[in-house]
Amino acid sequence: MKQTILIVEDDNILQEMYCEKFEMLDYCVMKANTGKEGMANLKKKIPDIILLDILMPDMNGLEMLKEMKKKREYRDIPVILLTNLGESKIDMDQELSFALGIKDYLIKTKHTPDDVAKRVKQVLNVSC
Amino acid sequence: MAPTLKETDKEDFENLLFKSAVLPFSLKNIQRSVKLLKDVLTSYAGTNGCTLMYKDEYNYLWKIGERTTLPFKVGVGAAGLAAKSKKIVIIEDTRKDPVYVRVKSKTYKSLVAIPILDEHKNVLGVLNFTYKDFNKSLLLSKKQMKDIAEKLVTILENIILYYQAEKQKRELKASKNISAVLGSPGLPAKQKLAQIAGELAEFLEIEKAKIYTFRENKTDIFNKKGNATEGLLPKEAYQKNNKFSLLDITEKMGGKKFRTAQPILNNKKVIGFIMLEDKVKNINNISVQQRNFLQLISSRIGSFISQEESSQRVIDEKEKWRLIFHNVEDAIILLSKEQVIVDVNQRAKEILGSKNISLTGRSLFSLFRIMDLEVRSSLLSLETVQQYKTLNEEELSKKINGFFEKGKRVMPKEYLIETAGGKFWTMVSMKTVIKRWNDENYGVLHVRDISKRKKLEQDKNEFMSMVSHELRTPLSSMKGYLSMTLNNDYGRLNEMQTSSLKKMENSTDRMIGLVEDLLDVSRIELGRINLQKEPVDTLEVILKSLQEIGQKITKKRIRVRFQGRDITGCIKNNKKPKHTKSPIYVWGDNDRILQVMQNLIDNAVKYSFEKTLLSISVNETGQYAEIKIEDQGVGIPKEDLDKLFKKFSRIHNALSVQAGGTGLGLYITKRLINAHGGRIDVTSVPDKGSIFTVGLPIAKQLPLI
Repeated sequence: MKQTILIVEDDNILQEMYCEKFEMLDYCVMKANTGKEGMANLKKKIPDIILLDILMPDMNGLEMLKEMKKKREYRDIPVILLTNLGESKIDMDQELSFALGIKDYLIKTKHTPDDVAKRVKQVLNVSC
Repeated sequence: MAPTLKETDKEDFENLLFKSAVLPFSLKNIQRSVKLLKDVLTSYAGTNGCTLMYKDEYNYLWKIGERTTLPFKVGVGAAGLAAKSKKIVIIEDTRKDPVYVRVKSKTYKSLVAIPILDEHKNVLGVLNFTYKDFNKSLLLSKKQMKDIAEKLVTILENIILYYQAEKQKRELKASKNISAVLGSPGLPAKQKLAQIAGELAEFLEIEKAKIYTFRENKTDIFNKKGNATEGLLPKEAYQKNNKFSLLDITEKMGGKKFRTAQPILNNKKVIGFIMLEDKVKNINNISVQQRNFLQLISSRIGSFISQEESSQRVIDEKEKWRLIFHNVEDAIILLSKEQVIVDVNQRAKEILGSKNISLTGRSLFSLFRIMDLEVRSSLLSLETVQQYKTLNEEELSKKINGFFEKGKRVMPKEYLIETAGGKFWTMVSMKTVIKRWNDENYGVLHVRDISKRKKLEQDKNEFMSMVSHELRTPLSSMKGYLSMTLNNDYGRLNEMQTSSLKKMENSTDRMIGLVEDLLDVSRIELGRINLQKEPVDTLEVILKSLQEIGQKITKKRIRVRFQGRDITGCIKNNKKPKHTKSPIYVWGDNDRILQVMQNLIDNAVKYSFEKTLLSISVNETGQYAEIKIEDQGVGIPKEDLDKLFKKFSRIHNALSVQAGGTGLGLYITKRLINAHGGRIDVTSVPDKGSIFTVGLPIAKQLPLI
């Protein structure tokens, strides 16, 4: 059975890139451009894993994480943060994000889609 | 028939002469004697009026027995004629005689002037008889006249002596008074000159004396009343300005005033003059002695004025410097070597927040605080903040003293300081100067408020940070797609395609590195380096760094020695060498320390010659882990060592062009190390290699796991 991945990323090209990667790897891909859209997607289907950007309009990644923690059905979905380590405080707040139960913290300019895919696979294998 | 002199009269006359001669000399006695003499002469010689005159050494004739002595010039009138010719002059009708113009009364018809000569035939004076009746003037024979004159010699000699003594006394007194006025402390110069003018008028017995002093194109005039007025100088005075030397200006103002001027000279330049005025007396006729006196006084006034001017110049100069001192935009603080404030300017008061309080005598370090503990420590040449914190007051002040006594110029540095006036970004520099007069060291502290500039810098950094961040998103997709394509995700690539895309990937990575560096710089400068501190095993970090740049090491065929062990083989096989020794934990941010090590090792490899040895070691020295990275390569010339850790500084050498880089690496490295409370040093020999030594504080606790 196909595994489902939700990719929450506001930059369209980056989103497309990750989608392509995971579709190639035979995942069922759900897309969202903002945290709010991401939350809305969760109502349709609970994904096996979420790739979450931090800086996004309307609801940022960390806010979405906090929202998820409030609901039991969303609480245990594994999350990998994708970021560019920006200057804002939330972007650098690794401690907070780990406290919110993320599985990893990957940097877009450093980790290639392949790296991301490998990490996703690792996380899914562990949680399965 | 001419009347003849009676014998009894003659006797009386001689008695009287004897009496007058022995009277003690005072003006009163002289007046009495002369009156008696006149009385006797009048009855004896049948004259209607009689005047006795003496001649001074300057050939002036003076009337005796009058309070004011109006001088006669020899050669003027009958008396002058008599004195000059040494002969008796008899004028029949004075109204017709042009020689004698001065007789005011028209009633006198005739005049007899008898010269009084001493034994050497020198003229002592003149005796004048005036007659209403010409016939009476012939009462005495010339022999009798000579006889009278002879009898007057002694008395005239004595009178002359008296007058000379009196004159000297008066001159002395005037001179003393003038000296007293010039020397009196606290009296303004203007009043001094006014008082001197008064003294001169009194001494010369004239109506007015004024002192004119030139000042640029104006003239200040001082007179007895003390009011100094500004006015234009008489034209003549200006025209004759530098030429006239003595009594040159003499004029009769509308026939009413006699005027004479004595120039005041300083360094042979006319700087003013003394003006003498009288309605009646022809001041031009004053004696040579008086002229000499006037000259003496004028030269004293001259030196007084020039002194005044130079002391005024000193005051002006001082005032000028004060003006500059207090009106410069920067704070200036003068310190004694005990760091006690000697003087501050207005801006310093503002910055130190004590506009209305005197700061003199207060300790400088009690007035402001450098916000950054690290800077404060480094200012005191301490190695760490910890050292600073453990110093007690006494040690601290000793350290400060040491800093001060270096006697060097402390180059401008930027500090965020806090004072009673608030927080300021300042540029501070100091220079130690030695006061010449007491050999003491003083510090001139120069503080510039650079808050505005700092704000601009911050804006610039914010902008840089924003731009760099925005660059990262497209760079991420570039990198991602390239890696996927190279990964053959979109189908197999041929060799050419792979090679060109590899080049693109390289460039993208370089660009990402550049953006990362720029971001780091702006983070550092904005003070936003966020360190997640934990115990970090330095050995582990170094090995990881070595592994990451293993390819470059292998390519250059560099041998690597780590902790004395050759690990070249492991690196070649991309294996992480196990470290056998016990870990050395430092207290820091793992990622940042990794960044530091990567940067230093990468640099070492970059600038190594091929087939050389790269040797890395870590040792615990006291509270620090000392990491040594030693390469064998181009090295760094001595003059470039200072530039090494500065922003955008790249040292040019054989390898730097091909090595690439932004010139930010070592700057970031140093700042990151400093942020950890550590330090970095470098020693280098050109064409041999460099040794970078990093000290990082040892972790006091061990990791939980």
